[in-house]
Amino acid sequence: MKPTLSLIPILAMLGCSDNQVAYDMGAANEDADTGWASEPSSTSDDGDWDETEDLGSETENDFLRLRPATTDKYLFVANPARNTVTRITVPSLDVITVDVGVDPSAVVTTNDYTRAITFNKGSDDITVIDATIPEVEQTVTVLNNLNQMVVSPDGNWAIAFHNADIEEEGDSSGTISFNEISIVELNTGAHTPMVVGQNPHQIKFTNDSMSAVVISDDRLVIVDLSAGTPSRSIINISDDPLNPPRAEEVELTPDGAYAFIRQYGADEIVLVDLVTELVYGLPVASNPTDLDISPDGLSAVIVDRGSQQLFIYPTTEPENSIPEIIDLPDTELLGSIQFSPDNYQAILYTTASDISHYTTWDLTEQDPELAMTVRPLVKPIQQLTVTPTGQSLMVLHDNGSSEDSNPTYDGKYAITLIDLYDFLDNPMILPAEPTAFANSLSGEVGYVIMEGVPQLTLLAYDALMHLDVELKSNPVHVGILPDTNYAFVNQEHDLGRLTFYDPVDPLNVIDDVLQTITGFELNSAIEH
Amino acid sequence: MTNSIITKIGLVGLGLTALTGCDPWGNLRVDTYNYMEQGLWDKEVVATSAGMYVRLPAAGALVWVTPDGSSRTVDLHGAETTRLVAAPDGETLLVFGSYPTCDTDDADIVTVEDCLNFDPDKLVLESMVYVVKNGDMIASSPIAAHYNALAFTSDGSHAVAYLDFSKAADIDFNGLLNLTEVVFIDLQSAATTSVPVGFAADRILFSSDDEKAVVLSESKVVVVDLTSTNYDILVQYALSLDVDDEVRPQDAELTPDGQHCILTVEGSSDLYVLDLENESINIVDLDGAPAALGVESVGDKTALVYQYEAQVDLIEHDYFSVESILLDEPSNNIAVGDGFALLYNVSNSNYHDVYRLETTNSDLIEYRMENPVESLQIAPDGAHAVAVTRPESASSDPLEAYADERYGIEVLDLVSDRGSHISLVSNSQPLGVAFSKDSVYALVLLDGLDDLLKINLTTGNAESLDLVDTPMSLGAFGEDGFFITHDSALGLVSFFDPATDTFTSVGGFATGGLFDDERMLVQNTEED
Repeated sequence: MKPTLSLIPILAMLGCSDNQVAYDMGAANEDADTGWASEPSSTSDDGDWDETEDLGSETENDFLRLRPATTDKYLFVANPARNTVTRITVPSLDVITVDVGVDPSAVVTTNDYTRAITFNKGSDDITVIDATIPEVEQTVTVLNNLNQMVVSPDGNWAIAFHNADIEEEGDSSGTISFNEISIVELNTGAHTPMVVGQNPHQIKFTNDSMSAVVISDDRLVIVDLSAGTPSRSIINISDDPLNPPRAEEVELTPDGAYAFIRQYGADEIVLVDLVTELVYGLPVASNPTDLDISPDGLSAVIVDRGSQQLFIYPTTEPENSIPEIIDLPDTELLGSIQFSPDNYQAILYTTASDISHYTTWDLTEQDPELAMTVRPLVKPIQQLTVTPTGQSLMVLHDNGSSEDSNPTYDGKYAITLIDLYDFLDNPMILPAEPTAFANSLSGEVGYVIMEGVPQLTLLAYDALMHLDVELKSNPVHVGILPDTNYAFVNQEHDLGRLTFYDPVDPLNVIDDVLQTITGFELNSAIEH
Repeated sequence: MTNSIITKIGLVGLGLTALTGCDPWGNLRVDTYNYMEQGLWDKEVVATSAGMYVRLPAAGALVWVTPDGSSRTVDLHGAETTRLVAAPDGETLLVFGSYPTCDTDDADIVTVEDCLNFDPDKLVLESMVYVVKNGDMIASSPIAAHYNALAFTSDGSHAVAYLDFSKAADIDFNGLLNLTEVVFIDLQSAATTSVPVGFAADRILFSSDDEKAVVLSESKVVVVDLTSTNYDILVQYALSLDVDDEVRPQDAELTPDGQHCILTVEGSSDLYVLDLENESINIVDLDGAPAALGVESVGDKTALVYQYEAQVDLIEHDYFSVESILLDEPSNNIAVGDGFALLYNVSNSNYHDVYRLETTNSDLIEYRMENPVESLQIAPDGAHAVAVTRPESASSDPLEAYADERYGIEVLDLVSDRGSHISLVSNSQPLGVAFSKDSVYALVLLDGLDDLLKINLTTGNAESLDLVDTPMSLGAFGEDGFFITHDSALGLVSFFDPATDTFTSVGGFATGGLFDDERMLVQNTEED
């Protein structure tokens, strides 16, 4: 069977509303790819995979809600303890603090860099800030008991909702609902409360921001934003209203015509025609654990870990299509897929089992037998990411080991940089567990921070080299300013600390620019 | 040197040359020995451009002494002086004092003794500040008695009175002290305005244009508008967000452009940087608690040294990045010249090094003193510095032992790149060092010698000039002159003209305290 994915290079990052590529590990899963159970497993004695064994979730990236937000010039940091947001200008590092609502738990910038929006969990409102001045444009009261906010690509809409995946102490009082969302038109401040399905997990906007899709276990709600007042369409996506499977992942086609929904334990992918609102079941084999839209937007690819097959549906009229099915190498257990953004290859792997391999899928090769190549790693995969240019691969390994892992790396955290052209790799032992990483959109550099280690590790992807940069205190989050290699690291400090690092030439230490600002939360106490 | 003296009729033989016309002996307190706790005159004289002010503690008076040999009492309307401070304009003197009043309408009570006999509780001392120019009081205003320190704008138009806690042990006050205020004084009118600035403000800086005052107090910095009628507070910076975390400023300077206030904190490695234009705070992490800081304007950098670390940190004023430079020995003091900072150690240790740090290129030139430094001064042209060194434990080498056991004067060539210096050994402790305006020579007083040493800074040759009496202190006077105070009971000072190497001595101005005059009460008027 031949892969049919188009080879058209894709420049746009589909569905990527963030203007950086940064990931934190250890918080709630945003796009967890799940399997049947929770604990990693290993091969059986005869080398085959035990399909009845609990293999646990496949893991992609996670999020940290207090992640700073960036524009091309500014970094916004929420200060929940002071009810403020701090704007830091780069590279001058001028600091201005703006009062917002109580306990700002998230700050987001719009894609046009004109606004920063905070979700203030303690006062149940959102604050819209003019990013350039910066001054509060307006404060809009929203419903109580919400814990997450998303902003539309055009920057005109914010939706706050209660994400059941976020574990929290639950400090809301009064009457509490988990099914309500607040939709705010950011230009006017108009607030539209709305009830959606039970326990919404995810909200996604279409690329044109004309609609949003709210995914719950039992229902999918389409919110029409094209008119002045948001309106909704409710679509049942489960045949079992008493015990609906958990909707784990949704992908929208780039044209906003379809939603592909992967449900926990289901043997089919739910397809929703967002125009006709009709629901279809797209058959897979037994246990789909990952669902991705190809970078060219033409295909939806489902990894069925249970059958070790790929199911490929077109994104044009998928309801009437027969999937292309590709068998995965029978020696491997593969549950996740990541496409190279240039659409030339994809990486297949698993995080749910102690396997020290990954598989590359050459999308230019017509023969699947030749297209798939199993490649070694020094130890099992904890997390894996393809750089934005598709030229390199970064693999994070935890401190465990497996039968086929390299003993040198046993008991140690590690990272492997791989050149995706010649597959030269450089595995490196890390001093502690990685907690977050970020990759520049240029693909030149990435950064990793680790638990309890006051250090920023630069990854120079072209050379597969690394450089350790000493920090003043332990890092909390790392990110990269848009369209630069300029990293920022949020660090532990009672009064707030950020370090900015520009490697200039990643392989030349002499020209590095390292600047740290500390105590910026004191700015919130400046009085006139 | 004690200020106490023994007075006796026979004192007339003490070389007193200028007693005033009336019979000086008629009102002597006793006709036998009388021990006076206070000296007749305070050797801590204050010189202005035209003359010198001398406080007479026993008489409670202030005397104006001029180089023409004359002296007269400054009329302060019956007030006793407690503290003299010269303004930077070279003309204005601020005098803290108090006058006695009696809280009664009884017209027969006209002296302090009358009031004490009437009712001791009715005697009130009114604290005042007086503005004096050219020997005349031109303005006065009430002020709380506890203020014991003054800071002046560079143009001498304003002063700020505050409580210097390091000298607060002898504060005499009744009732309650307000330690959260300082008093701004308009030196034209002597009008005073109390401004709340935070607890225990004890450091005041002024912007280069003298339009703003920066007042540092515990955990707080306040910027005051000196152009406003009521000394309005422009902005307040909190140095801590936790009331339990007391941040006590130790040392502070403004950057040459006036944009930033740099302050060190007692016992902390945090260097606070307050942006006074953009109103923000940054904290620079240092390797320890600095012992001293100095701001240098040519290189536009701040130097910091540490008590126990053999290291100097050089901080640029754009991003406040730190460059650490290792030293052979720790320095705990800094003297700043144009383009360089001299680092030296005045702790009770055996450190001998003085370093010249070029702030533009971070070059470090080491000078090795014969003995540990006691004090150090830079000549006005910056080409030389004079260090006074103290005895130390004797070396076994006879030659070194000779120098080790004695004081020294070391002249440092600040143009040299090799640490050149001239060492002079003294059997007496140097009491004072002053430079000629053209920086050709330094004047040095030695304890117990009735000579003034005139040291050529280039050659090190010393010329001895005879003094009229044993010197006690040396200071600059007028444009290019000097004054010397002498150990004379009834007052003796010499004005030295370096152009002609001539002395003009004035004596006998302190006899007021010898006579037991009744002290008159001052009648409060509406003006008062």
